[in-house]
Amino acid sequence: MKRRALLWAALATAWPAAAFAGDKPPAPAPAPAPPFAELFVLHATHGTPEVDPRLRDLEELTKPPFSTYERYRLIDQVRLPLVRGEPKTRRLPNGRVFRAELLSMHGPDVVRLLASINQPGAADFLPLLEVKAKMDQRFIVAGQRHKSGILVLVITVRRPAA
Amino acid sequence: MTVSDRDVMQLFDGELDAERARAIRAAGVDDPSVDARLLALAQLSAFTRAWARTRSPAGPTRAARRSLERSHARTRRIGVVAIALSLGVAVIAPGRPGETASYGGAAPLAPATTAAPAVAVENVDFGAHQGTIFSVRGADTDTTVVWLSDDTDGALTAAL
Repeated sequence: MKRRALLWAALATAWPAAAFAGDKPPAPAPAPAPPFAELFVLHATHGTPEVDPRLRDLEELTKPPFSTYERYRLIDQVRLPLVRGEPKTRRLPNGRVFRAELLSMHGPDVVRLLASINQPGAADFLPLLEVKAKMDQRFIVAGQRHKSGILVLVITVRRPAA
Repeated sequence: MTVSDRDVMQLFDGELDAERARAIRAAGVDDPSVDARLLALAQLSAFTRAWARTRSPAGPTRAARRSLERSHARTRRIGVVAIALSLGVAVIAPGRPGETASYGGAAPLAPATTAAPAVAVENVDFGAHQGTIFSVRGADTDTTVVWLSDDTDGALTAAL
């Protein structure tokens, strides 16, 4: 009887140690992927109505003042990773350069973003635009003249899919 | 072809037949004031919508307020704007600090008090260009638009 009690005591002591002996320390959670600015560059012109099928979700194009242009072509599409202190740029079709930089995160779904449109060798077109944007909410910078029309930049801050 | 304000308003309201609308748009290629006047109408429309919301008996204290400002100078300036655009519109053009006037004769509205904006323009420098901020209704929310013209002369300001 005493021997059996001792056996149970030994098992009770050994089991937790055995159960956890194989556990490794939990791996640190991977850092969340940085958000990115999805940039669509549209060329709006007059003429026979025609909208790039990839822009069908952009209901804004059917509303004034965008609806004053009948033709919309998607001429460039790029994702610019948003990392603080590391501005990313994209040359626009008219030679200007769009620049975007993350200023700060406000929770998981809100970013402060710094954007500008620079003209190499000349005065900046849009020296500064600072916005606070929710994920997946787009904003539009429009009005630059380009080839008998205007450029419409559609910018959406997104987070990479997990 | 001279495009009258009436033509522009009818085009904006979608009251023109296709041929007439096409003719006015074609005229707009040579007359940048057409676009400018259309833009002004869009701003006015959005403004009245936002203003009506602030007066709504359903909840004037909860409605977001908008500050619509206009000024006349073309000098470079940084305008600091906090706009709750998810429910309405705001308009800012470059100008001298302190030289602002309410738009359309309405009393300036108080700053937004409740609803968080989907996209808020916190700071903008239009440089030497004409610039305007307003919103356009998208699929689910209002979309913030920064409209910046290559024209340094004041067609847009004149239209406003």
